[in-house]
Amino acid sequence: MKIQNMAVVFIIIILPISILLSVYVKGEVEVIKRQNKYDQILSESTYDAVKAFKLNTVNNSRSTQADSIRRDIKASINSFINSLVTNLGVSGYGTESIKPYIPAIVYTLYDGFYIYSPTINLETGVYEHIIKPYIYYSIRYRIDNYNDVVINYTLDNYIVVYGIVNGNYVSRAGYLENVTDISINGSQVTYKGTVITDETAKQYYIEAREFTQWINDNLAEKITPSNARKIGENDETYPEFEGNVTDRILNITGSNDPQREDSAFNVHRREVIRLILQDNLNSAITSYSANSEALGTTYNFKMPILEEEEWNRLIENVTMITFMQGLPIGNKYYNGYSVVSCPKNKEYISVDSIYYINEGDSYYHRIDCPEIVNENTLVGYKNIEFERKINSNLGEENKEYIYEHEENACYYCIINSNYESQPLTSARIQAQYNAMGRIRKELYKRGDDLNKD
Amino acid sequence: MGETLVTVTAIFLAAILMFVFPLMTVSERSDDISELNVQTLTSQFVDNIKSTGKLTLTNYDNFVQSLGATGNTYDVELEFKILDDNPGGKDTGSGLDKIGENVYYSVYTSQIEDVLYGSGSSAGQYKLKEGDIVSVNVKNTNTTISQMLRNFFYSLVGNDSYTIAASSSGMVTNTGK
Ligand SMILES: [Zn+2]
Repeated sequence: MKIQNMAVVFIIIILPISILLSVYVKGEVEVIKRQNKYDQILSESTYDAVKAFKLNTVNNSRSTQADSIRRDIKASINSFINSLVTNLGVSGYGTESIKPYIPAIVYTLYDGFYIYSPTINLETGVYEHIIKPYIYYSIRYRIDNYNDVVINYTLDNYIVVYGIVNGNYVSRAGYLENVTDISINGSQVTYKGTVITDETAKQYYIEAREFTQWINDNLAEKITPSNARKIGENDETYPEFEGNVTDRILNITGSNDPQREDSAFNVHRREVIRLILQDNLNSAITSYSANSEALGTTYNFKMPILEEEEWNRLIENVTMITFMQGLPIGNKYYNGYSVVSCPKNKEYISVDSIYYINEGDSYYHRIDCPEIVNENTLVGYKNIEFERKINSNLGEENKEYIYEHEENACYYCIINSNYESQPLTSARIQAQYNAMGRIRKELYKRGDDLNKD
Repeated sequence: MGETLVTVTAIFLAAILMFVFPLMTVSERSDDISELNVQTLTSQFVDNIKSTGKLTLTNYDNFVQSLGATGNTYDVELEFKILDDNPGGKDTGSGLDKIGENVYYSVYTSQIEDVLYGSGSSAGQYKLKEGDIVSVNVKNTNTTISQMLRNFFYSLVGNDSYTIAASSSGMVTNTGK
């Protein structure tokens, strides 16, 4: 055979292989690009929804009441779905076209969470996406017939207790603080050796001390994780907690200080919140997977495995998680989720979310900022108070934004937060303890009414 | 004589077809796969910054190292757009009726690296806040076989040179701690 013919044969063999390979690789590249794009769209839409939630909260004075929160969440979900269909370029098909691919949306709030997922709407009998009833971070501890309580945990050291204690029915709520950290001497209150000057903050520390003392006297020695039972089920235990009879989670002392992340109380609290979330979310998604034909899809919806870091974010903040699964991309199906926290909310305040103003300074700061001018005049406020809000006195036509505080955000610690953190002086610590106590005392709590009997 | 010339030309052509063509195909696929890897790495890198609200030195080093593992060398360009929500008119009163007028200022790779490799309590990570924008561009700096071949043909027709490139960007959704 002549060399020219060999070349032709060679080309005939190689060319199709090369073309096929090229098409395959291009296809794979396309799938990955679409996957990345969808990830981005999902995270941006979730962010839009969280922003909508924050805006509504800022401008809604009753935003901590249950029906009002539901309304804010509904608005936030609408904003999520609108943003999703717009970004995916399917707005022409309407918002209903995207819903079958959303097995669940979760809002974790201060003392519980909402799940938005498809289920039978009891009012209409239709299988559709609805916001399910609020689920508290509650767990039951059954010791014996005389001690059987439900404890509702929260994102911080506040708990609600109700049930039978020493044979009597009780319901109480309050913050847990190490009692030996708080000393009361006449009208002087000190916390960890620092004098509390704010009157409202004093109330917080006095009440926390009293409540914690009551817990220590009545429940501390009895409750261990092994007593934990699922709410609603008949004495169903948590396999995760079985056998743990040593951790006295409610025995609040210096070595089990609720202010410390690694205290037995916090470890258990986070685990409880995570288990309750996981259980409910898992069952919502599994149940949708079994019934998804009702919405016209047969994709096998599954609860993805969240990373440790994402769980931490979930149980430290008001957070929204969205899931999107089953959208066809090339020869595969999209399966993603997005976790976005909302640190600016009215429900809950963490140490990091307090901003401070001081005299002779037109900026607000974080507590360890080097640019604070006069640290003896520091006063802390919730971060959300620095957000602009609509001046509701003017009506819709003359829409105007107002601020609760005059100050601007500090360029060193808030706008760009890569600053040299200052060690906290006693003046700064005092400002922090005052702010923490005052803000916590002022926050609306579901359990506030329980102690007024 | 004419016969020999034809044979030489034929051998020359056959050589091109049998060596250069497969070489080009294989090296192009290899570049495609590199680009796929680079794009995936870049997206993951940016997603991580967006969701955690910070760039840590470890993540940055890992990213640069993983890029190197594809067998090419890359130039990484970072740009963080920092949201400045002060303008919009607290003092001036202007813009009180407007929303969405956000001002950003940018920091680039060298400034970010200064913080990452700097000293003091803020070193080792670059913190961002909710609303900031991250964008990362990656381009290869070495010349791959496919690039050599392509650029050779491109230079014949006067086209731009071709590179393995990837980019990803997006808004930070969580304030870094
Ligand atoms: Zn500052």
